[in-house]
Amino acid sequence: MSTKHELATAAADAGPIGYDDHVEQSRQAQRHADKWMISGTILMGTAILGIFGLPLFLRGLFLQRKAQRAGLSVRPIIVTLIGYMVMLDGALNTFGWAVDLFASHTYVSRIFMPTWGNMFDGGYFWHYNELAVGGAGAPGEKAWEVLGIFIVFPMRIAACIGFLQMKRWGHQWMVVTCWTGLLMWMGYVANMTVYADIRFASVVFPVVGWWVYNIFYITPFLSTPYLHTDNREIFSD
Amino acid sequence: MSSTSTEGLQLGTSPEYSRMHTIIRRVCYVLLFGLVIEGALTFPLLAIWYGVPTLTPAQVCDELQKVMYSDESRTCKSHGLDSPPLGGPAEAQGQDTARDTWRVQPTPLYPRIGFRELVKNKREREARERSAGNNADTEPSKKPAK
Amino acid sequence: MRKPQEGTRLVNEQDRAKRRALLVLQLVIYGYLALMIVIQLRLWLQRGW
Repeated sequence: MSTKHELATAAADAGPIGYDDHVEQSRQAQRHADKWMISGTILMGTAILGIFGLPLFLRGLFLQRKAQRAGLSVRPIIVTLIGYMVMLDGALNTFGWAVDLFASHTYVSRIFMPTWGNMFDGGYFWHYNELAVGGAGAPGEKAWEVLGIFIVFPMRIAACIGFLQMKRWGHQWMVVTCWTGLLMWMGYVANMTVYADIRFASVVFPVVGWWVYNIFYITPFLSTPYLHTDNREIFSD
Repeated sequence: MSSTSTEGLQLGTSPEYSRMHTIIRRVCYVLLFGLVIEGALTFPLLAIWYGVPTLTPAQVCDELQKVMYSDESRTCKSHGLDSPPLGGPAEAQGQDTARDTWRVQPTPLYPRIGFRELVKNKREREARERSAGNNADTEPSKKPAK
Repeated sequence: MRKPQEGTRLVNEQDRAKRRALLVLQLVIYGYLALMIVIQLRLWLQRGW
């Protein structure tokens, strides 16, 4: 057999196998990175264990970057970041509001909510546990909690799962759910402003305290411009 | 990570938007670290401000209720499953001691709780109760609660 | 069939319109937040919480 023939045969054999191999390697590398990032995000979603989750998440991000530099086809970093950040945002909000809605009469809730409320947002201190349903008594607060916990945040987390899998429906759902995030922010802040006395009177750090604390939840404000300017072709069916 | 040349760009971004995407990516890192640090620091900060470890968490709960409803006799009772949202009345349902200016936009009238002020509240209240107890031994009248 | 320049011009126009729309969006959403902060700060000054 001539060398040319051998090379040609080898090339023909290596072509499709090489591609499949690349796809498989990329998939595995992404899966490996995602395991770390998912565990990290779950821990970060509990707020108090977040400090243990961050290193796990960063390791996953590092593994993904390494795979990317090695030439494997992994998810773009910004898609990863936005996907996990929106998920974390949804998880943290759900956690806090679910405690207020479902566990308002536990010791944990009756200590954590009113202390946080007394320091930053009087809505969680004023007449706490006087409503028949319990929890924060500020006007409108329960409505936002119900909207968030049962509709917006589950949609958000579902969208993130699809988005991180680079699915087209995931991208579409992310657009919708990030817009709902914008709407929630705007409605919620307007409600606080109308009932500003309840929210800020006799609070330790009025206005500035709440904004400094909550500004870190503006992920939907960042993701929406991204989602409208990215190349959707990279999200497949 | 992103540059103006197409080769340096991440997948999904184009030269027109690469700068914006870079900014978004960097701000995401800031938000991520911010959320995690916040989550870690919130509980210790609140605990220290509101009197832990001088007060036990249960005592902090009691003191908060006293300020919240302007009623020194309120305490944090333990509630089983017979409480919202599963059933039973809310803890403060029907209370009538809270001080507010009731209008369409109510204004609360409870005082601000300063740094470790709950500890001070408890000590002062207990001192008053002790002296009221001493006076009650000699006189029938009691000092009114603050 | 459309001429290449015309096609590019259309894309450029679409792109410009998109960028303008994005700018307006960001001005509106961040402007809204800023407005709310300012209103709340004003109320704080007036009512002395």
